[in-house]
Amino acid sequence: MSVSELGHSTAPDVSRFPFLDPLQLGHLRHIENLAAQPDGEWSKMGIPDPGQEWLDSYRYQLAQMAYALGLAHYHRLPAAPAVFRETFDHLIRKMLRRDVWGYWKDTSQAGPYVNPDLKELRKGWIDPVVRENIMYSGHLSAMVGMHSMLFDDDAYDQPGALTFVHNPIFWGMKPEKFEYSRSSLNEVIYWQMVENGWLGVACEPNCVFIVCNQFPMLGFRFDDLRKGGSVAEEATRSYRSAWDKKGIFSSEGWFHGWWRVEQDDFVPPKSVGWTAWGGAVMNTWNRDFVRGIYRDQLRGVLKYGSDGLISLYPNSVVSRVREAMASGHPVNEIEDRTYPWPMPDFGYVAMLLSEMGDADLQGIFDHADRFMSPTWSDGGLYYPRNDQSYDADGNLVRMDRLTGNAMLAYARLNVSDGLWAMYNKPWTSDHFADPALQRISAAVDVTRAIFDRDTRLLVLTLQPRGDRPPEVSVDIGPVEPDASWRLFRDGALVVTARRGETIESTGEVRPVARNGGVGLELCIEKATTLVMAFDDV
Amino acid sequence: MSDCRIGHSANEPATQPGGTFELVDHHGCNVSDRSYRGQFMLLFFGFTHCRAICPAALSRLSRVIDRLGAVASRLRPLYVTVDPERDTPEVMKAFIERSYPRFTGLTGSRENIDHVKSVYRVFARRAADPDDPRGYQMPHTAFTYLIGPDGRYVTHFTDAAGEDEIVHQLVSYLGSGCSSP
Repeated sequence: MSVSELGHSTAPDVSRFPFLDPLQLGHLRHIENLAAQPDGEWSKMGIPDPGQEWLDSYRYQLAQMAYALGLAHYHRLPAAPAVFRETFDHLIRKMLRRDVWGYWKDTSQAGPYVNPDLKELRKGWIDPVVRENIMYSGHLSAMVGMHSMLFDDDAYDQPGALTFVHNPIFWGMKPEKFEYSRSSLNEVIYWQMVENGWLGVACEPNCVFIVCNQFPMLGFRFDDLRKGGSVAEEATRSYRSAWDKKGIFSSEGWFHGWWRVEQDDFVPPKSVGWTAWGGAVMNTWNRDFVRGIYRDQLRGVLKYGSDGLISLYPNSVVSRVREAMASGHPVNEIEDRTYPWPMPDFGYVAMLLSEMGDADLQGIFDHADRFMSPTWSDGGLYYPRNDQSYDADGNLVRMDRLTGNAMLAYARLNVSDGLWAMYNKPWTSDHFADPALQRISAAVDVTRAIFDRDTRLLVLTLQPRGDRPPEVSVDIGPVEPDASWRLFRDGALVVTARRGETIESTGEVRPVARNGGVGLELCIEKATTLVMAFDDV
Repeated sequence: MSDCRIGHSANEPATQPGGTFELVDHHGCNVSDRSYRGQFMLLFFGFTHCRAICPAALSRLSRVIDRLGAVASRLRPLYVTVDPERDTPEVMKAFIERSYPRFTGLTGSRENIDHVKSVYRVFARRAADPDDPRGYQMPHTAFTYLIGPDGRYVTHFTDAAGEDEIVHQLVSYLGSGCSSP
């Protein structure tokens, strides 16, 4: 049957629904590539520190990649859980590997760096979440919480779903297992916050960082959504009150570096980095506060170059830049090319600017794309590690793994108040009742996936990955067994189904009955848009 | 070596607070958590010099207990000091009997107080008192804990919990006699 024989249906106009751009798609593909690596394979994720203790460690990369996926799913491709779910699961599984959390056995012993009054090392322990280490447990909480909200799934709340296995091969003893669920993980974190007067849970022993305590707030919130609790409201209210009394700002107007519990004092921030990172997440529950201060916090930090490019001043000169700005003196000549850029500040700032919807973000991207070697690999886009700080012309070229794999991806996939929206306007049962792409065969990219409730249109744009066969199989669901719908392929009507029965089809797309939905099989050789129009046959 | 340590499943929230303690009541008698078995313990931590949180919380809890009626007999309200240096049994007795007679005051050695704080995950830290240069404050957790007749944690109420909410929940727990409403 020819298309014309199918009827007179005019293809719906779906031009108003945006596509992922190639860079966004490239970032998603790179995250997918990294997440799909065999366990223990950390190619393109390796960092200078051998102990997974520093700020570009696997845990931060994995967590921020997960959040980037979440933002992309929520804001860019809301009708495509199939694109994200498996990759998100891979990231969580990797997060549970000893490669990621095993550092805690050493770090839990503390030391004079984190506690100058320590007389001897503590006896360390293996369990990475039972006490302190919110720099790990907070991210795990946020990851599994976000997963539950995005996929309407409590799989990680089952007993033992979050199990840490410590089983050194040559110990010859039984494996030690530390079993948690999303709920019990959050409970552990909650009671530590209580015990610390709501100022937060320590990362390294004795060190409470403001930034790292923002992530469990996400975990609390998403857990509340599943269980009907109000822990997040309690936690954020109590946290705000505790820090109002304590005072959150350093002399620079940034957040304190960290609070030393035993000494009850503050260590100054090492740069704007943790403030930017923390603010980007604090925006979810304290938006007016963050929006009211962030530009001033970035004063003297953003370096405006030629052609609209924006990079950062090294922390060693920020105070000089601020003074020059205040006195009206030029700032362009202020530099310190010896600064080692020990922190992923470029990525932290990009993340904050993305959440704020700040126009300067484009200048950050432009700088990265000109000076930080954007690289395509297996369809994925990333910025490779570069331990050098500046090129011969004084341009910042430093790139760490967190920024290159995750933070710039996060910033490109985010929208203004993007994380705020996930926290404050989470998906509910209404969303999950809408038809969506539940499964897709390999070798296909999805650049558009949205269900428009007003017009009852499911809009999908698929494109083949370069060297892969073009046969595509997708599952759409939920779709009622007696649903009526029409399917348009690139504007042409190709299938009509009435009350669950296919009554007309050109054969270009083969509908297949699926449990709870509809399967479609088709061949694509170029970007192809499928539009399913429901209840209009 | 155990096959599974420390961690917990969703159905076994062993991370919850509570545990044993050895203290002295405001009559000077040695007591422990076992002294109150068979009753629900309603624990609030604070200190008698507290000018804001404790008076408000103890007053509110006293009103709650009054509203419970007959089931209040199943409840043992306890006020545990986090400031044993100043809150001797005598001080506690005067404080309790003057304003909050529903409660039994508990104090003890610094070591034993630190222990009970620890098992109940209570924050309390000595801080300067801007209104009394020779004195000090003890900012502290403002939770109210409900412990079952078997000595196990049942639930807790934050300082934001309303009087009606606490009454409603306590009636549910105490009325049923179970550790779950």
